[in-house]
Amino acid sequence: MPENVWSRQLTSGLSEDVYFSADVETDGPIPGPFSMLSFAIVYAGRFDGRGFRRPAALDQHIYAELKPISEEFEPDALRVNRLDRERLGREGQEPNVAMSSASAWIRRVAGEGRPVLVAYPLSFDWSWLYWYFIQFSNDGSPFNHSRCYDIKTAVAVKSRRPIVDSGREALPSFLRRQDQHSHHALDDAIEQARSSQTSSNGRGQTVSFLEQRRTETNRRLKELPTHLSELARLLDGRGCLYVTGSYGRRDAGQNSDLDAFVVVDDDRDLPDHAVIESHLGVATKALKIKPFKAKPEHPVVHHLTDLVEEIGSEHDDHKNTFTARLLLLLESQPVLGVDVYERALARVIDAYWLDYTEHCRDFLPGFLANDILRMWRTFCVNYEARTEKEPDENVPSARSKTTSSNTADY
Amino acid sequence: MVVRDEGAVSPHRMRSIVGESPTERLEQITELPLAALALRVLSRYETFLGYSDVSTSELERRVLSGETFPAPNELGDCVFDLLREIGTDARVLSFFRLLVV
Repeated sequence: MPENVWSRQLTSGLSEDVYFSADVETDGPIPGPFSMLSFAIVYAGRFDGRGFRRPAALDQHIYAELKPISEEFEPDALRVNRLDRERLGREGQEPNVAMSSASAWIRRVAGEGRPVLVAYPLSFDWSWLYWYFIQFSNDGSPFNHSRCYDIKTAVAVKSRRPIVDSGREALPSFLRRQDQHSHHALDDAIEQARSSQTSSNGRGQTVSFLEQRRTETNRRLKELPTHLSELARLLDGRGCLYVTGSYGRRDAGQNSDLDAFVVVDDDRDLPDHAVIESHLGVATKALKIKPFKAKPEHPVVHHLTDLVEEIGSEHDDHKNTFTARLLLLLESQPVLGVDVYERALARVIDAYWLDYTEHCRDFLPGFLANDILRMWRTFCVNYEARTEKEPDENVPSARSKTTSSNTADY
Repeated sequence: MVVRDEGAVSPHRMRSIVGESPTERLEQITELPLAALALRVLSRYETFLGYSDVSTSELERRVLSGETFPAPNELGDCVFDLLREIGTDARVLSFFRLLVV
């Protein structure tokens, strides 16, 4: 079973984590004998088991400086955090006021979700904050006794590193601050919040958005065959219909049109293009998908033998077998005739892997890589030529309105 | 990554890759720093999907009015960063060269 299906089943009906990144500055190693001098807590996002939702900005936070609770301190600790212990003795908040206020703020931001403390590494900050909440807050710890998330452990697991090699330096550069770790609790809590947004589910918001697109695309693709029963009879046992483009990539949106190809695995005449288009037109209308509209100069109905035998030939491009074959490999989903679709994939792969048997230890798919590069570059060149020749279509030329590299990128 | 880890790409391996969508292939990458680079690609792609999910006429209006896709090169840059990170590994250098030369 695919992992995402498995995890969705496990996570259905779960409650919601609400992440708070925290950082503390102290004057010693343990709470009680020593004091927490400042702390910051930043709201970092929510996770419901399916997707992580990050806030638009990391601007919901609290910061407090506290009166020391004992006379003991370690000078080295003060040199690191550069906090003035004497000043805090005069001006710092009373711990019960600061912790009760922090707890109330956390519970208010979390709403119906459950607050989870996040830090990098967690062990030090958790031990201080938990102790202070229990000792001083009117309503105890908003994180209960165990709701916490260690970014260091997450980095170790996700990057398959030992824990001892999973410090902040293990993060890729764009997730690290460019300046030094400041040891100001608020700066550091925000930095951690940024890291946690990536490490908490490894994908951040992206998974959630793409998952929505996949779910919706899958729903439409599942429904599509029910509106293509006549075409299914026409292709029965001899052909397949597969979609490409955004439906093939399974990230179609409301405005995506349907791109499709038919491949037939016998020597009989190909089904008429107009018939295929008519069936697909009815189905897309029923599903409120933008209609299938292929151009006659780009045939979408092919014999499987042509898909295989035209590889590298001078006819491959203009017969459109080139595009049909490459999109079959790169981004396709079968809609009708799954058996033929599987045969088509197998035969096309075999054709590109012709020399594999003799080079199975070091075979590189160079032929295929060249064809893939050729396809995207042909798309760019064709687009450019079309917009130069057909300015009245109002289709922007890559050279006139955007840069050439835009076209190349898309 | 298959070339780097396995030294060759078998037809069987290719069939399993083909069974995933392009974004699912990126999500399979879990090791750092590649996973972070893959995440950036997915994030930029998501932005692109959101920007382009309008009618053709609206998309044309946006482009013609100069309202182009924000940071248009970023998606390509991110894909290249990912390829480069994988491709500069000595085990895949010759294959990487094939893609960029």
